[in-house]
Amino acid sequence: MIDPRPVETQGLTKVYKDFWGRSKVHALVGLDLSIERGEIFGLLGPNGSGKSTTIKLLLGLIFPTSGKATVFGHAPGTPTVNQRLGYLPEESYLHRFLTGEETVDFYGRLFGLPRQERRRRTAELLDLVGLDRRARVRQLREYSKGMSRRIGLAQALVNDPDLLLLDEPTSGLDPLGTREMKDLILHLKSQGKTILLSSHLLADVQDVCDRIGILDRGRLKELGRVRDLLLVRDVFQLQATGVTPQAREAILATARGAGATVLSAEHPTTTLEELFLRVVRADAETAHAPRRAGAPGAQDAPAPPAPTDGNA
Amino acid sequence: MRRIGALALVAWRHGMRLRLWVLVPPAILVLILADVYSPRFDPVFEGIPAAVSTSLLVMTVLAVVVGIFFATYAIPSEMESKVAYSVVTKPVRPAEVVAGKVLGMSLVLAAMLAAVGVGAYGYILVRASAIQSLAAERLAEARPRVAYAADLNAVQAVAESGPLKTYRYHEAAEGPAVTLDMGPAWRGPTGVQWVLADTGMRLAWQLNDTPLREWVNAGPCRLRVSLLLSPVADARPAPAAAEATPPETPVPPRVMAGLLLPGRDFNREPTPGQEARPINQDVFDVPASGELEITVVAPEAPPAKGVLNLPAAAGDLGLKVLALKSAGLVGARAGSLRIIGPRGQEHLVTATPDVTPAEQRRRVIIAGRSSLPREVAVFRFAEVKPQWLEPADTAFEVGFSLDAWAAPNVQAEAKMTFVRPDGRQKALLFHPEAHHSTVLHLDREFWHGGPLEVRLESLTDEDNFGLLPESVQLRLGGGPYLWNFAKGITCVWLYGTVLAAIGVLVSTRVSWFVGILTAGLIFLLSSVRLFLLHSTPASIIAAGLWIVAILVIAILLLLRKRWTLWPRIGAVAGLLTLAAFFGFAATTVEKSAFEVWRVRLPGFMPDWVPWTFFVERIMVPLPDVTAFLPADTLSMGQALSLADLGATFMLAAFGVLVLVVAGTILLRNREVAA
Repeated sequence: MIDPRPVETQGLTKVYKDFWGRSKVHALVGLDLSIERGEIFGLLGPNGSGKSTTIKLLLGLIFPTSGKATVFGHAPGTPTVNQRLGYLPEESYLHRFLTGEETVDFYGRLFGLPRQERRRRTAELLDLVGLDRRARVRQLREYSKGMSRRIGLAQALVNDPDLLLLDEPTSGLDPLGTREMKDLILHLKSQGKTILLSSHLLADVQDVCDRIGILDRGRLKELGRVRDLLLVRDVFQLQATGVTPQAREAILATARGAGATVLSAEHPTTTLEELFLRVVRADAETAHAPRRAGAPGAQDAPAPPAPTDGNA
Repeated sequence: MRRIGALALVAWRHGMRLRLWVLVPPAILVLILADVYSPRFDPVFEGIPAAVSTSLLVMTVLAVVVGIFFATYAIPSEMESKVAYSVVTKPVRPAEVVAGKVLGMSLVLAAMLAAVGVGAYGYILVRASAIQSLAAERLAEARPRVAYAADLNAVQAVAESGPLKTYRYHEAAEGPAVTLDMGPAWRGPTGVQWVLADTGMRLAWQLNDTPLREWVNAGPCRLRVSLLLSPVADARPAPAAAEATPPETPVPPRVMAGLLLPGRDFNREPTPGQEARPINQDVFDVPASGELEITVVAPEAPPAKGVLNLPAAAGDLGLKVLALKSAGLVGARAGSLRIIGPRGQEHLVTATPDVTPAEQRRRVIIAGRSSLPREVAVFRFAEVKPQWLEPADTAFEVGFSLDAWAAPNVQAEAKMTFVRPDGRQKALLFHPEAHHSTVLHLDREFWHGGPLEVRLESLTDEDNFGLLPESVQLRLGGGPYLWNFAKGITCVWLYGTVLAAIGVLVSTRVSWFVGILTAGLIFLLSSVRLFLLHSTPASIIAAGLWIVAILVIAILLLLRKRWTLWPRIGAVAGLLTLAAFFGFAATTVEKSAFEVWRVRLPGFMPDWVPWTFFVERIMVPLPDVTAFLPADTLSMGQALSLADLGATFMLAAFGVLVLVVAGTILLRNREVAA
């Protein structure tokens, strides 16, 4: 039997109403969307565009005014669906009086994991998100925002979900944490997970998403593969190393001779994120103190994106 | 179950990390102070029951605070902090969320009550040792001066083996039934049911199967009652000359008679000026022949002196006759009541009249009159279970909480006769003291469980005992009853759990603040349920206004979510003050209407307008939360049977189940992120 699509919506609409039942805000209007198995889908949009509403509808936290949403072919919010779902909220909405270990253990129990399995999984996930032994036994009220995001991610992964809904996953993380989060998302994709993330940090989405949808004032304005959407078809860019000044001039002359207009020809710049990571990691290596053990960023990260021509 | 357990564990951790346990030491301190400073008539016998009672009361307050506040806080706090997003997106059903919360609250409550209970029991043990030495001191002081050794046996038992366990005969089917013991020298008529003046006993006839109601519709009827009067031959010693009072004008024998519905009793003595109203009770002079004739008219007929209006409300109807002081001894035989219709038709009531105590309090009074046959309270200890008497105590006691009143300077004297089924008797004389629990020693050789008849008599002139059915106790040796205390705490825990379930139910739909208000209102209303069922319209109106006020507050708070704390508190205080004022005004209007204009507002007399009927139906949906509390255990530290505990447990389990189901329905249809 073919497993239904992880996410499918048809004409999904949500209108928030006031106390007297009068329409107040049209948060989402007629959203048609389907997400394929194993892809990373990014929902983009400014604040109030309907990203979080879409995710809440897919989680069954709110009910649609009209239209239909299915998750793995079932109505959202049912235990059958939630069994295969992981959710990282915009902020880590967790019991602040629990410790890190207790938190992951609690959510493991909600998934009906046996005690041994929970212990193993808790240790594994806390390693994965980089919470050290001291942090694990502290109550969440003492956690920094970054630590809260990490423990939030751990609880979202406790059931080894098939579908992950990540609401602003890099919110509150430092550049290193942001990078690790993105690496982790790609790592999860490599394991065949389907991921829906919402963000207004465009660079994050660009780095990890296969497809994106752009929402504005509740309506889907753009939908497609990131590469296709970002491709500038009438500009050609060449990057090469070991090019002498003479060779550079020859290439430019050839291009002009062929009727092309050269827009820019200069050394590319790296991203600030890359620079920051390089400096921080170099310091960490010098001090012989790995920032964390078992983090996917250390072993599983894909090669950093190639430097780009700043103006091309 | 695993998920419910997980949610319960989180609720438990929440309670512990909110440091709810800091309430435990103050609670122990409060109960110790309350016990030390509360008045006590007899520390030897009442010390431990009072300490138990105080402890359970403090624990009840704790259960209410934790049950309502913490439970009502649980779900809304998760909603408002959005923690619920993380929980409900896991494979958890709404029923599991609600059940987990209730279970968690219950665990928190159990731990807190257990902690307070351990502290309280430690205090009770300290009290017990002090009571033992106090009893020894009292014994040493009193033995040379006491005429009846039975008085001191119980004190001795306390001195030797510590405080006594107490078992209360509540709802005893067989007692106390007060009879007049006419004695072997009685030469008067036989087959007569007698009542003695001023003891509150009534002669009662059922009139259901008679044509009275039907005949009254056609015109006035007459009730002809043949009463037997026994004049009071005052055999008391003549008063000293200095104390002699002028002779009073002879008063004819009088009785009060009334047509009363079940559960109703004589309201009060009619006062001058009350004639201009419909009445269904009045005072009648009894002629020397004893033939009393009472005219009965329709409910709407104009009232008149000596004429009774038939009660308008439907229901069982009865005629009750109460002997007033001038009547002394009044009796009636079978077939002494005759109904005469408007056209002269007659109906004979052949049944023998019952002798009943006052309906309201079921208090029986045993009067001491040397000039009259003795009035005797008889009740039977058929409920004694053999296991109560284990381990083999060498002695046990029978106690009576007596309301005794005697003339000044009179040493009250009473006799208690125990009669075994085989006829063997044992009589004990004792001196009852007003409002004291009188405890008599009964040796095990004479009786160790099983049926026993007890006859209680007053031997002193002008000395009366008031006795309620619940006041009969059996006390056994065996220390300050740990097991019973634990059972009492269990009941308090069940009570708190039900309150917590109410709190969780309410909080599934509203904010924390509104939830606490609503849960508190439900708790208050269900606690005063019985009071409301038997209250006057004014108090019902007042209660209704309170309800309206709180609903208005709830709506205002829903509408004005942005209000800060102080405007909310101000709104609550203002509206409650207004409601209290309305209640006061309603009561004042009702009282003034009666006292100034002699107008009774509808419902003032419950027989006319069925206010209680109305209120009962409003109150039915409310859980009677107080039913979970063992009243005897709370009030007097009495023993609680395992059967009662089991029944309470079942009741609580059923209540919690219903509340969880209701909470599930409410939560299922709620948008968590709305």
